[in-house]
Amino acid sequence: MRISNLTRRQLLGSTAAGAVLAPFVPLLPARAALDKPPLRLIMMYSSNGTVREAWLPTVANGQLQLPAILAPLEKHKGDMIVIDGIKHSGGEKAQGGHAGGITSCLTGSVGKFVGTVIRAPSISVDQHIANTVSNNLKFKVINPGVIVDTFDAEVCAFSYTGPMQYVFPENDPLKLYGKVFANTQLPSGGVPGPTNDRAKLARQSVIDYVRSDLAALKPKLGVDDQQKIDRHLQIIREVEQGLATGAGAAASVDCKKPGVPNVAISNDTIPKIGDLQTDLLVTAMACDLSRVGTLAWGRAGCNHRFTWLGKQFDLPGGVQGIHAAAHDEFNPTMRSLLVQMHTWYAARVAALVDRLKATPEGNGTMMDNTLVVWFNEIGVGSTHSLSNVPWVLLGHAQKQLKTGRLLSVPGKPNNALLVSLCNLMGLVTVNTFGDPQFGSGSLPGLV
Amino acid sequence: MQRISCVLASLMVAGCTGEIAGTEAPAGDQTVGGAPASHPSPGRGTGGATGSGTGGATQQPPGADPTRPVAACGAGSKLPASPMRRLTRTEYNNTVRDLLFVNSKPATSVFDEDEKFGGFYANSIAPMTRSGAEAYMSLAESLAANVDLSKLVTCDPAQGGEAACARTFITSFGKRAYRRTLDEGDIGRLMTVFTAGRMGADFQAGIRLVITAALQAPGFMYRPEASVADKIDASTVALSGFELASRLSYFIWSSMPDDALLALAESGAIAKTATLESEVRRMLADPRASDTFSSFARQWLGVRGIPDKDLKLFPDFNDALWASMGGEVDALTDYVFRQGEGKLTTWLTAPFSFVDPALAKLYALPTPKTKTFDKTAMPANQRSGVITTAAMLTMRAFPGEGSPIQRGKFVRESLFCQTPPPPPPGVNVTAPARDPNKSTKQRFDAHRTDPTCATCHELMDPLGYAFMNYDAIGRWQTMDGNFPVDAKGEIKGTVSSNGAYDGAIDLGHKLADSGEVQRCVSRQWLQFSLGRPDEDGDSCAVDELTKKFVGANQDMRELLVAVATSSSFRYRRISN
Repeated sequence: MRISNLTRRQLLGSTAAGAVLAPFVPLLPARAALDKPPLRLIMMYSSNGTVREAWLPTVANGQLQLPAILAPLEKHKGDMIVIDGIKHSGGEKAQGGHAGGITSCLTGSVGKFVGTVIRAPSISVDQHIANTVSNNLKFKVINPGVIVDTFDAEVCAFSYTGPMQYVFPENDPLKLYGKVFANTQLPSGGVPGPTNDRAKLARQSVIDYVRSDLAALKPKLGVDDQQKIDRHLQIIREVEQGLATGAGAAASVDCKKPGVPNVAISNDTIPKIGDLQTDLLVTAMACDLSRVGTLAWGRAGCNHRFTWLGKQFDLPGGVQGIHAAAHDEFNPTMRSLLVQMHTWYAARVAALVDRLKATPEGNGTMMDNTLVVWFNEIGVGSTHSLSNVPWVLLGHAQKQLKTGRLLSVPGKPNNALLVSLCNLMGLVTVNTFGDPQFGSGSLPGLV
Repeated sequence: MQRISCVLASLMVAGCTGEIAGTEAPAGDQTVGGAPASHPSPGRGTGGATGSGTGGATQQPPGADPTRPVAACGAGSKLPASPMRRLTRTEYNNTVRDLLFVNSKPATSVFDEDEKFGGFYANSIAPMTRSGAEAYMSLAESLAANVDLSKLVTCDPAQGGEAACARTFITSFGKRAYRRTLDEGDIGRLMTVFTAGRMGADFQAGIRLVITAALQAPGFMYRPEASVADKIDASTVALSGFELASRLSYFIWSSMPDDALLALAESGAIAKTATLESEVRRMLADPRASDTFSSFARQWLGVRGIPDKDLKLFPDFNDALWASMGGEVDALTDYVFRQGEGKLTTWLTAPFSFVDPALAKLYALPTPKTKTFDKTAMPANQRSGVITTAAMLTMRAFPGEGSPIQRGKFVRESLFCQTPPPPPPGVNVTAPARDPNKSTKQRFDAHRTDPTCATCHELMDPLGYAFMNYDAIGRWQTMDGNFPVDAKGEIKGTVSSNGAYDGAIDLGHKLADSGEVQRCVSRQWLQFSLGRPDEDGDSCAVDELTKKFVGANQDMRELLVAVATSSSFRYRRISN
């Protein structure tokens, strides 16, 4: 229904208006010779749990046998590790449900209330990993969303840069494009701006000023506000570093500035929005603008209506989306529709992997250097169980993982899996993640 | 988009205990059980306190204005902490309008959504983000590059020298940008920026860089309150003149103080109750106050985003119609509180509203001759002020039909200041499917027969039935499926407002007459002005506000005067 607020004209206009801006556009640095491409992490989120019987694969003759929901991943099943039995223990402790699940799934901690909203008291795994692997890149995390909405103060975000500090996904492909690409000089990115020492100096002086002003204000404030200033100071440092780099040193040969996306944002255009966001995300990572990406298909308990799958998904009464269907899972008609909805998400994962496999890198493709994680906030929609949450990994993460298998870890807290993700991404000393009451160590049997 | 289902999701956070805040505390609880001790549970009900605190010994410094209120509500009671706010998008837009004379509302499409603390936007909890800082930077550069300097620089660098003129500019512009006088340190740091911008270019480039820097400075984007010069008691300090001027201007105008207010801040005169009162009245008469009434009304009604509608059932619903619905709320609210007689009763019961051609069609009125929002008598016996505006009714509805639950929850929360707890985990919160053999009430009866649901839904559904005459986009209907509409219901779970009603108009009048509603509206305005939930330490201020509001025949403008002169507004808790 909604056309993006930021029109193409405004976008072009705003860069043009800043003759001031053009000189700051950093040039693509000479590509450094790396011994191997960097390892990347892409975490795709879909909501409302799954239908376990239609999701859980069997194994026959050492081969995964994929049931209905995972069927679209048939051609990639050799790259998969399906993890069954993970429990979002922190979420269960924080009242359970969608809100408990979403705050704990990537943080491994127990959500706390801020006003009427549950927020996580610790950093999420995507941000924690990004602090290391995306350090000095233009962006820590690229975080597109597909109609991730909120209601009143309810925040249904899974990504946290620190205690209570949630990160909201960027829902608008045009805005994401603006943030990530509009001011970045890439190989096919139009007229290159000359480096201009005077302009660079000017921007640096502003950054120095803001830094000194923040520092002058800080001691006058209370403890909580001082923490906000500290965070702002850290952000200023990141902005400063980001200005010094354009595309990262490890930009792949496929790093090309994408076209300006154009989509009306509405429930019915979800497939198009998702395609555009996926493309922007993969392109940003191919350009090494960041090495961690998250892609959120809605918020926790989202109620997107799958109208594009056919008339039967547009049920009378107008209240029937995936959330409603998940609640009504024991109704056979609803269950069948629900399975088809989750199957559609699996096809989106498959499309993401297709895209990575189609991007050459080194002697192989981007998929050789990307760990894809598909996760959810809860296990089952009807009961809001936080047990048996569906987690799927794809990719061998530069030959660290033996793929094409089912890993059964009944009752294991997600904290162990988060530790494993840190370890796989090179943070080898991480041994606990989130709330230590849920144990330490990596996920047994994964590596 | 899925605004509607969010209600369902947001209902699923915690267990339904079936209790709302105890019957002695009608002003109610805003939080659900389990708030950690480290976080003050917001709004823990100020309803119980009655006028305590006025007898406490004053500890004001000698020479202080004797008309100033005492600090807190009796011994041991402290004002809650006020986390530092960052400008909302509306405030940013208005501030650059008044500071730079740029009226393009640039923040709306560039900055992320604002964050609420309590019921209203405050941007006071989540810290700055990388993309946020970059958005501030880009916007600052773009604004500074395009601003008309002739309106901002009054001196001539050719006359007294560039450095002197830059200093003059920095002193006057900086005072307006940071809403306080600059000290030598401030001026020196900005002179360094000027020099960097001037180098290799011209005077104007230096000035533009100063503007670029100021628009990214904490003194501009945040609203810091740090003065400890005027202690009221051990835990309470009066805001400095400039801090008070900022609170006041962002409260009444959603923008920066004007020169008159800054002058009163600088002289200290603003701390006097009489001055404060006359300033509020002056500011309310200014067109800039429209934005505050609009912001309050929209946030209070929950009108934001674009609700998802079933376009097969409602092919007329689109962005433009939704924008018109919001425009009606703005126009009606502005008329009642700024231009008209200011009464809460009128706002809740007006038989007229403000419609443009799109809304005229929706309300089955003759097509108006003009495209603007004009005052129009609504069809007889169909509407009751702001609570039956299409915006409220469309927001609180499913994609395909009105929702008595959400509408009842709105009345319970926004008018009685009570929050029903969310349903327990695992409970089926899907609305019952349509059934040609059942009326809506019959379909929703499970809520009230199943004991798991009944305790909470008794507090919502019977209030929501008042709105059975309005469909998912607020149109009048007389049939509920195959049954005639039954809009009878009952107010329950209140201290003194319980009773049966018939339809939205009757409910609107009962609400307007309710002392609990008057107190709730007072609390909401206090929360709006402070950007935080009210707590025990605010209870004497709330008592006082409510008394003045009722005493002024529910004149909303007098309520705003009372808010601005209250202890909660003029003082703050000393930060630790």
